[in-house]
Amino acid sequence: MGRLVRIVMLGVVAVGLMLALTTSASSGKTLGQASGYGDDTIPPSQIETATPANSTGTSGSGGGHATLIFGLGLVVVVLGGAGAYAYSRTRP
Amino acid sequence: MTPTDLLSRARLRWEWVCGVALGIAVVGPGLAPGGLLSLDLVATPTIPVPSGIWGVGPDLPRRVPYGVVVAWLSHVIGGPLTIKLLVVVCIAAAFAGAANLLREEPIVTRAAAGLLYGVSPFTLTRVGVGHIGLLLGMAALPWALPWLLRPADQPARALRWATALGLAGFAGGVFALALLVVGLIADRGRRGVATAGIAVVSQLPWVVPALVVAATSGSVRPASGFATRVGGATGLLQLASGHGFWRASSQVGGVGIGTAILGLALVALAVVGARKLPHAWARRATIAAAVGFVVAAASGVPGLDTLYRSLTANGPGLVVRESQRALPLFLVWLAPAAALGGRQLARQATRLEAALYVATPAVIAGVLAVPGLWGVGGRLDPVQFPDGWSRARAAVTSHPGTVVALPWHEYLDIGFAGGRRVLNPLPDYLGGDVITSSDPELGGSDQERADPREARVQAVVADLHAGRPGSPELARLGVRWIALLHEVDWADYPGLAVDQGLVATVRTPSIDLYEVRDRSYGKPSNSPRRGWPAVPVLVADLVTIVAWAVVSGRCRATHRHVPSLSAVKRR
Repeated sequence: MGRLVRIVMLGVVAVGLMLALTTSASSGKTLGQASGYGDDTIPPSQIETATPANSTGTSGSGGGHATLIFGLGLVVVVLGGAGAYAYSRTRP
Repeated sequence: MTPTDLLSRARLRWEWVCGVALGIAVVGPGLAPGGLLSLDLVATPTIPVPSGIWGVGPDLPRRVPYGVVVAWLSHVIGGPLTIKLLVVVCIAAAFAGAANLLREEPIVTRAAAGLLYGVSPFTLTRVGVGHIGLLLGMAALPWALPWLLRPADQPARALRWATALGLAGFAGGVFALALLVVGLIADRGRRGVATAGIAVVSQLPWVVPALVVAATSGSVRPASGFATRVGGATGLLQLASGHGFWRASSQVGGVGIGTAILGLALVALAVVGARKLPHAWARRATIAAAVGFVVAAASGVPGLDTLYRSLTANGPGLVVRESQRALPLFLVWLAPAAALGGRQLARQATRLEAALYVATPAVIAGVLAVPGLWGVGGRLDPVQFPDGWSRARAAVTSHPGTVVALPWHEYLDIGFAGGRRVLNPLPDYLGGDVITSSDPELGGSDQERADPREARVQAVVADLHAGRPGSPELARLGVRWIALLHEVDWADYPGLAVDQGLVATVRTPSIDLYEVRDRSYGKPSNSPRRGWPAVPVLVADLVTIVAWAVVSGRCRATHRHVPSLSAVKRR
């Protein structure tokens, strides 16, 4: 496997680790129903669709966080890849 | 034995030491005194023998047969401790089993395999919702896998491990049957009769009660709505990382692109490492994993979901109606293969990169597990049952009789359990004959217990809701007690207050207990707890026990000559 591919893969994993660590679990917010085997929270998909109504023109929405996290992940990929490449060049 | 000897032994058994430590880390605060209440996890002070055990209902045989051992243990050390120890043992066995699949590899690789399997989001989610049978099946699966995938080579060992899975009930039985079928096909039918015999004999303890209940009960209307959550472009990748439980709020770990990326990374590592799996079972395990993944995803993939629902709506298909339960067949391949993948990549890398590659599977496993450690997000917080409950149980125990459990919900939020949604704990708490709703309220007016009295009690409940008395009909049904938990809509039964046929025996802030005054013209009719069905179930259990005892003797006799299946030459 090409060296570049492997380094990119490590970077992608780093992004995944960051995103997984910063993604919160389901909200646990009660819908009002207090019985039954079914879900007792607002599914994440509904939360996402409900968000834009209050997020127009603001930068503090969930989407903003996702962009920030993704951007940080890209920085990790670039720096991590560059660091690994530079380290490998210093070795005989 | 000196401390040095103990340390040496602990080093030799490091998988088990680490596994137990992991189990303790998962259960965490739950190990403190107190019961456990979280969805299907109901650990009451004592746990009754499941009523489905002899096939006489009214419960469908879900906790069969392992529930008998759990019940016996609960009377010795208490129900909560029994369940907590069981969870720790399951996680330890799953970790050690996955590590044992790579017994020729370095410790780091084996530990990564153990982590990926033993504390995957799938495992932790099932701990949090109390699917004990599935956890038992997962614990035995990595140990059983090599033998069940080559049933023709060592039939005695195959039967031994298939029986071990069968003792976990249908959840483990499905794993055994799937692996045996893959093994039989891969063996091209060699010793086909023996393999079929293994499949049948090993699963009798749960299959026969299920058949008996199916044959003798006409009132069951199974629920649906358990589709795996694989929606969105990344759903299948999230499934690979152990997500996708049908009840989103019970899933351990956040859902999103992060888990999808980690799922993709694990699959990529597994593809790289699969070639290095032990030769004796590598290809067969890969096929079983593919089957497990497809089945797990099938109920949630558009196009396949309708077909899957129709196949599992009734009959034998019901055991896999919640298809994500098949995912361990995939995870038990993914974990060792991904761990080997990291090691394989490290062979071609510089020292720094090599360390990263070797560590990657374990780091991914750790990150995926973090949200579930130390009590599975509060789901294992111990609970103290209110004093009123013990007073009610004492009254019922001193004057035994059939109990109707109100509010009329199979699952309801319990205040003293942190408001968690829980399977109505009264049947387990009181023991004996308790009539409760078995409608999971998933929109279908379903009835999941084979109890012909349930529909009649439901009519009584409607009367009580409407402010009309219900005691005459309850008397005809042979009901002696009504237990009313002060939870959710408990105040919506005005009929109880005006019913002259009821005597309030216990009134507390947490529970009320009413006794039906006149039961003279009633008799305990239609009780499902009696009859001939126990006979075939007893015979089936006897057959399995005898077969297991015989092959265990043979396995012990040949143990020294067959240290591992890796040594068995492919024929």
